[in-house]
Amino acid sequence: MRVLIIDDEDIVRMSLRRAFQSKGHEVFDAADGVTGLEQIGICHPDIVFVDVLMPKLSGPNLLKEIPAAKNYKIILISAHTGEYNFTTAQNLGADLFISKPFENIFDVVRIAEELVRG
Amino acid sequence: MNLIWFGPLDNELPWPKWVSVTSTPSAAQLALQIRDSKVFAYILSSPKSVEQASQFIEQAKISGALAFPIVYQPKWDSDSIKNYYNACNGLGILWSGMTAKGLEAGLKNIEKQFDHRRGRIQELGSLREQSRQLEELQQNLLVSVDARTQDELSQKQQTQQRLLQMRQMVMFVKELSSCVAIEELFALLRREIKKFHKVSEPILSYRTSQRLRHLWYHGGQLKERVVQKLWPQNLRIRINEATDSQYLADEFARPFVKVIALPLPPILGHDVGNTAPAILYFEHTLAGAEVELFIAYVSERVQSLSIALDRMILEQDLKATSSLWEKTFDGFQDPIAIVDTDYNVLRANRSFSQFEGAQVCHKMFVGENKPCSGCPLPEVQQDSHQELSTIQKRGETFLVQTYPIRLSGHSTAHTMVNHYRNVTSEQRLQSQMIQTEKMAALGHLAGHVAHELNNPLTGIRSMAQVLRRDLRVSDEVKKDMEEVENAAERCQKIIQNLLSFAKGEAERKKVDINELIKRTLPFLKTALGEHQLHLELAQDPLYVEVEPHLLQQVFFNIINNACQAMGRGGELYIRSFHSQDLAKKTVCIAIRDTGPGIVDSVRERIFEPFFTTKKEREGTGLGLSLSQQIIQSYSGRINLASQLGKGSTFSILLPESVSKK
Repeated sequence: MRVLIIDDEDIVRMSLRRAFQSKGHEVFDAADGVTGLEQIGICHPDIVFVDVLMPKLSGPNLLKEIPAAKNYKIILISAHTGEYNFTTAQNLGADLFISKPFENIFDVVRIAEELVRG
Repeated sequence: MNLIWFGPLDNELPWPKWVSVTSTPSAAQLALQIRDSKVFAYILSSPKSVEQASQFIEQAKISGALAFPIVYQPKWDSDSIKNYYNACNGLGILWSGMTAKGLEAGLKNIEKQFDHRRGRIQELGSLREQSRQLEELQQNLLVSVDARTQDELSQKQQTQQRLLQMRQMVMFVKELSSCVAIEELFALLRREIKKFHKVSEPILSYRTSQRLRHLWYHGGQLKERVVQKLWPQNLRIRINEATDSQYLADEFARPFVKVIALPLPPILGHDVGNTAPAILYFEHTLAGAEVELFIAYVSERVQSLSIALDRMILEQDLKATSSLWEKTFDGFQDPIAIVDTDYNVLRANRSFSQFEGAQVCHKMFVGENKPCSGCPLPEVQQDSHQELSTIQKRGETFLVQTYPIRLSGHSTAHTMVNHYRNVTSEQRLQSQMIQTEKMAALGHLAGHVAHELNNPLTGIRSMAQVLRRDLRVSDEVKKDMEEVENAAERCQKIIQNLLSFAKGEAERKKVDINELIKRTLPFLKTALGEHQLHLELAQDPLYVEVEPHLLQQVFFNIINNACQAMGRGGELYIRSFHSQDLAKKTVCIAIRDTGPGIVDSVRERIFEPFFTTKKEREGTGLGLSLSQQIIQSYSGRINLASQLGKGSTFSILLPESVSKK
């Protein structure tokens, strides 16, 4: 599956990329919201990880740009504990919310796979 | 020489020529003759006895003249003859048958005797005259002495009268001076003028800064009325003037006919110009001289009355002002005391006066025999600047503002004012506020830091997980990666704890004290430094119901203090155990250090907000006071045991949670 990671933290992108790649997935990434939005149009992902706090365009604002009818899943990720949860993320148009830091990154990979599989 | 013969005449006698003898037939005739002449000698012929002769002679004497008898031919014995000479002043005796020679000699002798007696009588007469004149003189003298005495007496009476008046005046003045109220003074005046029946009850109108009143008596009762309009302003005594009658008629709504107005002029410190602070009105029916008498009587008393009244008005003004101040002073809830340089309380408001004890401020306020430590009174006296100090009184903190009252002309103040303000709750609130703000800032910071750290931590941990599974990576590196992952995980925990510590949770929940201590210790790693930590926690969980982050703050504060109190290489013991406090299940956490211990003066104030022994900027003096507040809010308490040179132990006692949640 095609995975797009939009997060301004290099090591977060890198670790997610490595984890997904190790499971044989194709990974794309973007370091800010604007680039991330462009990438969605370009690389046709099956799943998109969107961070909340990002330069140029924040996660929630990015989600507003995405039409309701879409053929990919969105997982909102945030280190801002307490402010977001599953419900708020769904209200923003995301399919799932995962807080950072992840307990186990391979669980994240598995959750993403399950979500795409439906 | 003329002789009158009474009785049987003896013509035989050879009378000498210088003697003429006339005979008188009756005693009455003789008496007449004797009466007409002043001095007379007569011959009593042949008296039967000396008694007869003396009777006769007596009769002659009665007739008013001095007559001397000569007897002829008495047939008396020698005793009778002697008696005749002695008692009857006899001139001599003639005998029948006397020779001319003998007769003449006898008569000459008689004449001589008679002349002698006459001379004596004349002398006697002039003497008598002199004596009479003397008597007259004496009489005159008596009269003049009498008159003089009378004069003196009346003068004395006048003096006494005057003295009496003076005495009455003195009495009046004396009574006046003892009058305290205007009403008393008025009653006194009323008594004084009662003797003037034609003067009816007086009216006294006066004004003070507070009052403007008419006073008068009606039916023996003192009446009072508010003055509508001020009395005519004129300091002259006025008799029966229309303005005064009109004025009184207006004020009292009844006619006044004849009125004497007696303004009492201002005497002391009144700056009222022509205005009399009081006036006396007398309604009267006096006429002519009576009026003058009355005016004289009253005006004699006006000066004293004015002075007395003036004094009272001033006193009333003064009292009114001072009572205003006193009430204001008493109205303050804060205790206020005016003290002298020896701490004696000179005056105090009601709030301060409730304290008992000797009249020194420290004894009264805190019950100490010596001045409170840090009392700024001496400095205030010297520098005349106000100073602030704090006093502890039964766990409450008072901010004392001490300021001098310096009288002009004195270089130092002799009286100071101590104003005590209870700032306990204020300080508590302030310290809570500061702490809340501090924690809010810390929470904000922690949130920010947590977020900033969480991102890279996510990466680090995830990357470590990825690398551990990477087939290309050697086992050795994988092991290292495990360490990295663990470290990252620990970091994550720390951040989580920091967040809950700083931000806290508003709700109380049941937590294990042991767990909470363990969670707090990582924050104290720096503070613990080289100190040796002995952790002796109870085996089983010790549940309490608290806001965890607040209790963590308490642990943090106390442990941090303990670490700071010890020099290098101290030992810190943290024990937790089940306990009993007031028969209730209690959890105890004892934190013991091996520091220098706490001296009493510090110990007394250690839980006081803003009290610190640390250097400025190193401590706020809030840590322990807040800790105590927090623990007290859980119905717990903090005990402090300390031994100088050995160390201190803070024991936190908390009710054990019994809820099953």
